[in-house]
Amino acid sequence: MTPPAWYAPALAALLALGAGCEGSIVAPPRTPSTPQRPGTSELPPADIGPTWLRQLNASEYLATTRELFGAVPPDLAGLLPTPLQAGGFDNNAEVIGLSDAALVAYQAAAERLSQFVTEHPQRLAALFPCAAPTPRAECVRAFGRTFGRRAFRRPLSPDELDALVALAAARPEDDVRALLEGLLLSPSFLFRVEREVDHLSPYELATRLSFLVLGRGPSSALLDRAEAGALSTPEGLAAEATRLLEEAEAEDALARFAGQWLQVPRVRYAERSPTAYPRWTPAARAAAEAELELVVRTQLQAHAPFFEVLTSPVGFVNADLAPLYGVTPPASGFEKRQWPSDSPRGGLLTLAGTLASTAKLEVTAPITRGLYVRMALMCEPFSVPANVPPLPASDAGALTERERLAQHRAAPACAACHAKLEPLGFALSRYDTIGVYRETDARGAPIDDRGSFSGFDEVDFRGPKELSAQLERSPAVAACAVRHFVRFATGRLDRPGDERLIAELAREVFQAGDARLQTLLVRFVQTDTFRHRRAPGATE
Amino acid sequence: MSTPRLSRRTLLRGAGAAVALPFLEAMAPRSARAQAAQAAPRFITFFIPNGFHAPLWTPPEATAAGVTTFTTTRWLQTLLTPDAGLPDLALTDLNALSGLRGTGDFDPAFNDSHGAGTVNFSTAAPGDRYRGAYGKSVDIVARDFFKARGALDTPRDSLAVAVQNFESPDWFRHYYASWAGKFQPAPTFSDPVRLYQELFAASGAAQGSADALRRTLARRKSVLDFVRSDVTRLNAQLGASDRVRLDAHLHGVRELERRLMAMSPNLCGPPPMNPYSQPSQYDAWGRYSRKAELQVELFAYAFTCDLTRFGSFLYFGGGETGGPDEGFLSQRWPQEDWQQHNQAHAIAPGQHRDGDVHYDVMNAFTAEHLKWFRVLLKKLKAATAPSGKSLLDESLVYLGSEMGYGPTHSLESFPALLAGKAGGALTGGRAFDFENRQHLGNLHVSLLQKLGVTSPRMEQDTPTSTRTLYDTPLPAL
Repeated sequence: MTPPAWYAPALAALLALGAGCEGSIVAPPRTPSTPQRPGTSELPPADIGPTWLRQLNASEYLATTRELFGAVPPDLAGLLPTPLQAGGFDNNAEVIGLSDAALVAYQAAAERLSQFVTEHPQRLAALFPCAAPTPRAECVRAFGRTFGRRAFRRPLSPDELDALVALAAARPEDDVRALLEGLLLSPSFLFRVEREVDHLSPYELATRLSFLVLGRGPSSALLDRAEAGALSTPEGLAAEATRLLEEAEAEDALARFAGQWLQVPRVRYAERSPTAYPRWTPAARAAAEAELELVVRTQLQAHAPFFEVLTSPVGFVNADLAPLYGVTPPASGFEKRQWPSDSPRGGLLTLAGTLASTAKLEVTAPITRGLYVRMALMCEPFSVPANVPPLPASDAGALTERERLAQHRAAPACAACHAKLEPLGFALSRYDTIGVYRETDARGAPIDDRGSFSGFDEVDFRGPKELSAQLERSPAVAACAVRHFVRFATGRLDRPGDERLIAELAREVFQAGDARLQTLLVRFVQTDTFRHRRAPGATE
Repeated sequence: MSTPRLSRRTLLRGAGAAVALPFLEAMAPRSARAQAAQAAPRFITFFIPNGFHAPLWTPPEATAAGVTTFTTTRWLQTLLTPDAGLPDLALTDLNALSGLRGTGDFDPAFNDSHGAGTVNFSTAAPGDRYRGAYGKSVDIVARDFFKARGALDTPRDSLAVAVQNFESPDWFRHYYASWAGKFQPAPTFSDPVRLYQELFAASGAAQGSADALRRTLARRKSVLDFVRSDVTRLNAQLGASDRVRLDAHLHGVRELERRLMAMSPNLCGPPPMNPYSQPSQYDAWGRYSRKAELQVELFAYAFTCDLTRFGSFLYFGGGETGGPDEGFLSQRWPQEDWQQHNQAHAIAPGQHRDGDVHYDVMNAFTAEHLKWFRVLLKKLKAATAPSGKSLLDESLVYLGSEMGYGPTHSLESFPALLAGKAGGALTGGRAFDFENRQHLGNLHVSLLQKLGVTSPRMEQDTPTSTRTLYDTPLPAL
């Protein structure tokens, strides 16, 4: 089902912690960060923000083990822990890894993986080659030096190799299973451990880079290149990031970021009464979510400015979604469509998934749709104050939805926030709660879809396309995207110290006309925030 | 499940012949330890959303001192409704409380009263809106008190279960009733399949031969030994803030080890229904009522079979979803929005009465939530504790919500219900109205006191220090 109105305050953490408010991103005057030269002992700037030990989440675990083993059993995903979300992302290290919640699941996953690998002689031989004259302990050491290095994302210490030998010796019957389970349950695997204070080791940089760009641990080759010094300069990091972006998993990782930022996963909870909305079948709901994902990926694949996702006329239709859009279904599967310019479709805000997941009780939900624009796209905070009375009752049908909701402006306590919400949501009022287009309301009166950024009585645009065109050019939207990216990339909520970084990145990347997420990523890996670690203080 | 008795005999009788032998050694030390210390009490918190409309809950006769003769209001009557195959509840099993206060968000600009209230329900404070509670919840305070005294000897320290049909970014505070510490929600099982796996992991292992099982358990032991020494090695190289997470990891390893050694009670009686076996009746996000039934069944089993003594059960958000087969809602109001919260806000002024469709739908959710709470209580009442009393008499159960009445978003006039007799420490059959002069924190202190916690208090880690929020119990309970 759609979120209740009290999701309103939810997204607002952004600025709760920031120096600015109401979407104004204030950059304190400061000289731009100078790239650090290799070999210097300069300390990281104090404002880079803390980095917690980051525990692998389910999707990172899956991608990492797939890279480690080449293949994983199909039922592995079902064993992994349920994601914890904070600040909009499922990788927030402030809340994950704090309790032992995930360990039960990871034990089951490790046992499943070790069974999967050892039950097939070929897989076993590839992973743990051990020919007759070689003593078993030597094989274990060799395994630790190769596979162990990939699992821990660094070479193992002599102590660690000894411990592996002891573990194998204790379990002669099933030593390879014990070794695999031990490595996969070790904190050195389950956490992205950063032991170096201030400066990150080459391995730790490789790990950060690989998880950010590919959503998984580094390959053996990347560890080799890091060891050879390839990541020691901002230029080297940029070159390596650019190279990794060519790999197929890079699109998955960026799509995961963009999908969570734009709240695509919410579509799956947008349930409607089948009697009232027969077209909104479970299959149509799934298709609406899949369409948003495909649209996001299309933008990424085209290496196009990302904010075009707001205005792009690209859509995807299958047999379940076609009736909702009132178009001919394709013969099979999803078909890419270019919506003509006079079509009601075109851009993120006109797609069924967005319209359904941002709607709720009111027929067209101008408040919650306005909240989506203000909070998800513009990073503005909103709250649900206690003890606010409902709007006065009105005769059914006497007022339009617009007229009824406009009563909010009569109460000064309500007007301050509602003047920012409904005038945006009204622009989407020609789409009902599942995104079906209509031009008249229930009484047959034409729907007024004029809207405004500035208040109830202004008219800044008409309909979602004009609204989206303004959003696409908005510096607030650009800064908000960067803010979300910083959260995703650092695995924590943004802090006052991040404001300078956010403002800089937004200016350089988006306002300089190269608004691609790939560009943002490559620029980000060269920053102090990426290249250094500050351990969290006791009160953080 | 028919009335289980918590005796060693039952445990052994329930054990499958093929797997009983490997566990015998493990059982012996547990039995000895359990007799050595005074056993921990049983304590359950149960959260339902969106509050109660006071006329449906608070008996007009209720006072701060408590009365024993009072009107059986609608929601009390709901709890007394008979269910086939289960014992009836009596008013003497219950205490009805009204008029408790909560605390709002510290920063009014970011007030989210549902989130603040949910954290208030179990921690007596609103917490941080994105990261949750600043301190332990009342069930965890009690659990840790008895655990520190060696009085907690069950396979699981505690169990947190939720009926949750919605996920959204940032609603962190709404998801959890149990908090293990600052920003640490306790592992919470909202998927019956996951919960089943968790409770009956041993059953899965038991499908192999006794030899295979013995080998698996021995390997787990070696692996966990390795991981523990690995954590220790790494710990020496890390700073204090990083060690918090490694300590959690180490704690998890110890828990896995302990559960490994105490797996035998998983074989107490026949396990309840397996969600796997009815895929057509269950899916991850739909079928609200069916999911609640499964969760209550599994949760009750964990208590009647003594797998745990501390637990929380949370209904998230108020029926965020329905389904065509729901019955309790969709057949009566097929055209209505199936969200209790939205319905609550749709009630027009002056329409808070039966016959208003939004009021009726809102209350249909409350009735649904109370029904499964009632079933849980009855399952406890049907089970017999080693003392010979019913398990409900031995337990303390606290039902509450995140606000007084949903439509007003009020952090005052919280309702609460206490069930069970806490082993004799609590008398039932009373109604209280504290008229907002007492805080939920005072109730929490009272609950801890009834459970036998000495110097009971609710604390939280503020950003700078640990401080006591409440250490005074309710004046009369």
